[in-house]
Order: sequence, then C-alpha cells, then structure tokens
Amino acid sequence: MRPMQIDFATAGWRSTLYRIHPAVLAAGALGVALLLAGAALGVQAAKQQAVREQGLRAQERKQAAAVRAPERKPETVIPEAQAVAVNSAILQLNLPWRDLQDAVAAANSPAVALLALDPIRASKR
Amino acid sequence: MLKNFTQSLRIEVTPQAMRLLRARRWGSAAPEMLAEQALASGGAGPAGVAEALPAALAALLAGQSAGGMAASFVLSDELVRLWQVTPPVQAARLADLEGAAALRFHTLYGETPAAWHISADWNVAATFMAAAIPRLLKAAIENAAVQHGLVVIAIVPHFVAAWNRHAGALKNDAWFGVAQGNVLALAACEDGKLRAVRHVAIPHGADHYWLTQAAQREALLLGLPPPALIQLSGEVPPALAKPASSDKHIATAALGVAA
Repeated sequence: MRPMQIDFATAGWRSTLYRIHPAVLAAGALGVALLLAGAALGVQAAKQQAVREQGLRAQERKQAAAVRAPERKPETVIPEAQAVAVNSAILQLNLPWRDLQDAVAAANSPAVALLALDPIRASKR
Repeated sequence: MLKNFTQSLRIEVTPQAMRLLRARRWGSAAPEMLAEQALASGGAGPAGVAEALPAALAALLAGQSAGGMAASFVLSDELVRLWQVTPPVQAARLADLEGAAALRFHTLYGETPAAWHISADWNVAATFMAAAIPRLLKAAIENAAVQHGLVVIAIVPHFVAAWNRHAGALKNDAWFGVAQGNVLALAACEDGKLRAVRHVAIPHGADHYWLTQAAQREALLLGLPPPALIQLSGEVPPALAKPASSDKHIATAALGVAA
C-alpha cells in the first residue's frame, strides 16, 4: 500500500534532508565528487594545453623569424686592383677624344704636329 | 554529529503521557524507549495538552543529551482529527482540494477549520485522507522543541505513523489495525486502497470473537465485504496477539510494534 503524505511539521531543510534515504544522499555526494573531479581534470587539461600552446607559439615565432631573415651571403668582393683598372678604363672611354684632338690640332702652330694623345694614369699623378 | 546522522528522537504525545524513544534512521529495528513522563494536563483535550506540554517536555528531556537532535512528534489519534475527503470533480489546483477538505471538516465537526492546521495526502483522482491538528498544539510543540534545541522533522498522527511504517508489508485486501491505549484504529481497505479509518474502543479482555464482530459491523456500515485478514500492530491485547483459534473468526497477523 502507498504511504500517506501527512505531516503537520513546518517544512525545513533539515526535515527534507532527513526524509531522503541515505543511499540517495550517498549517490548525490558521489555525483558531486565526480563533478568536482571532472572540473579539476578539465582545468588541469586546459592549463596543460595552454602551456603546450605557448611552447608551440614560441617555436613558431622562432621559426618564422628564421624564415624571414635568411643568412645574408656576403657579396662577391672585388679586389682593389681590378676596381682601379675598371674605373680607369671607364674614364678613358668616357673622355671625348675626337673633340680633344680637334681642339689641340686647331690651337697648334703649323710648325708643330700632334703625334699622339696619351692619358696620364690617375694613380701615377 | 554521527549520532545525529544515524538516529533521531521520537516523542509520542498522548493525552495522558509523553514518551521519548530513540529511533534508528534506517533499518527495521523498533524504536527504543528512553523515558516516559506523565502529562499533568489541566484541561481535557488538545488545549490542555498544549498547556502542559512545555513542562512535560522539559522533564522528559532532563538528563538526555538531546540538543540538536532531529525529533519527530507522534500524536495519539485523540489529539488530531482524521477524515476523508472526496476531491471535487473538476478540481484543478491545490486550492480546490484545500477548499474541499475545509468544507468536509466543517460538515463533519461543525466548526470552521480556522484554528486547525490541515495536512492531507492530496490526491485529485481519488478519495484521500486529511488530518488536522489544533494550531495551539502545533505552536506549543514547535516552541517547546526550539527551546530544547530539537529540530522538528515531523508531526504526525499515530495512525499515519503506523500506516507509513507498515505500508510496505500490508496485503492488498487485508485490513489494518493499530492499537494504542484502549483504542483500535481500524483501517478498512479494499483493492489496495484505504477506504475508511474507524476508531473502536477495545473492551477489557478483547479477543478474536470481539474483533470479528467489530470488523463485521464496520464492514456492514461501510458497505464493504468483511476482511479475510486483519494485520495488527501496536499495543495489541494479549488475547489478540495469538492466531485465531476458530475458523469462524477473522484471521489476524501481527506486524510488530507501531511505527
């Protein structure tokens, strides 16, 4: 038969707690413990994940920096002598030889003949 | 703390005396009697009990370490009113059932239920039991309990306490009887449902013949078939505690102590 739900006492948390079977209370406590354990595990996992993420981020940053700035190779060094030679050659080629020859020929008296025009090396000056 | 977790106090209040028992919270062990105190009731009825209750409770709890314990109060059926309510056909809310219970109370006892605290096994689909306790008595119990540091977890009529304790063991068509003092509360059941509760005075030397007669009379009054078995609990008279000697008598079965 069904029990009767007749009770004159004013309902309170103590009486409610008292009416609950201890097995139910134990199950509830177990549930709460499971919940807490799950939450703790989750927090721990999140922390671990954050640490790993941070490590990964640092690694990535390092890698990106390495990729962006490759080691600069030194340019081919031109020896001093070669440079001077090239420069003098360019200087010789740049000089307006024909105009110079015409000017010198025009300025000279007929008794003097122009035999040759020779550049003086800058280094020897 | 552990003591409070595993056991509770049970305080039985009758118009004549108060009894303090210690009940295990679970298991089927019977409550263990700790103390008894006569009630010096000034006036008769619940008002007199309410008046005498604080002093009696103080005397009852003297010497017991009861502070902070959970206590359930069991009131003998003389101090409460028990009746049955048929829910109105189109009852939709609890207020409808409360109104029906109050109306039935007024019809049965000829007074408004203003001074009574009503509690019932609210049921919209079937006839249900309702019980009322004078607000004066309820306040006296709760105040006295607070004064002694008790936590009131239940205030129930004796019949309800016994019914709830034995509800699992009751057979479908058997009637249920709870004896307390000289009164037998007889619950007439049919088809696994409680049909009515009658209180019958137990005469001196009551035996199976008397019980059979009483049960048959109640069955006739209620229009029910007489029961084949009556399950008894509480302070059953010694002659009734034994199995019936004759086939003509209704069989009885003992359920052990009440509530």
